[in-house]
Amino acid sequence: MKNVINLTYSFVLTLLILCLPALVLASGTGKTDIKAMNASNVLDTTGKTVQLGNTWQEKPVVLVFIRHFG
Amino acid sequence: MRSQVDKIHNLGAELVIVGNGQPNFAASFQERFKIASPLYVDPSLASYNAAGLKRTKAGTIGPLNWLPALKALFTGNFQGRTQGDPYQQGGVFIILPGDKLVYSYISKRPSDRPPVKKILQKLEAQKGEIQKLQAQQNK
Repeated sequence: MKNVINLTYSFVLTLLILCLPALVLASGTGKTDIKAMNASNVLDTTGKTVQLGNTWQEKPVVLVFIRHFG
Repeated sequence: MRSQVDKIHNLGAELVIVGNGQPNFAASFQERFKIASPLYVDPSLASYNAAGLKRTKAGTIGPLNWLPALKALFTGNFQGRTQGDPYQQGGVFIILPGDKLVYSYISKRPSDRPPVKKILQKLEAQKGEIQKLQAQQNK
């Protein structure tokens, strides 16, 4: 029984050590580059390319980036 | 946020949504949630990167999300099959013509979202600026 507990403990620990870099590291600067945002191309629901900056060319926008669909 | 669209329009602004999947995902999302606002996708994530938005596994599956996820589950907000990058986080920005960034919120994890009330307050604070823009456009 003790061996099973030790083995499970070692397995979980190894898994944690192996996964730690992937879990801790996050990409994304946290700094907004408004010029680069303006120049970014996005696609509308029909697949047509639109320059993101065009959406706030004439009026203010509340721009919401969602995580994912689903 | 969707229920606040009229308030955003009344303040002279538009709600624009960007997702990270494919156009067909966006089309079905728009239909499912009856979204009338402009909706775009950025599968390349270039605009997400330019906005400085985070991409994190820990932020997505970490313990800080367990309680909000359970809460969402019990309130009937079931998440369907993920369409897009599951580890990409979101954010909210208020931008005025001329690339004037007046508000930004970069989410650290899925449950980290700014209160809608705060977004509306920030927009309302720009009322004078917005009226000036509208007057210039009407000339």
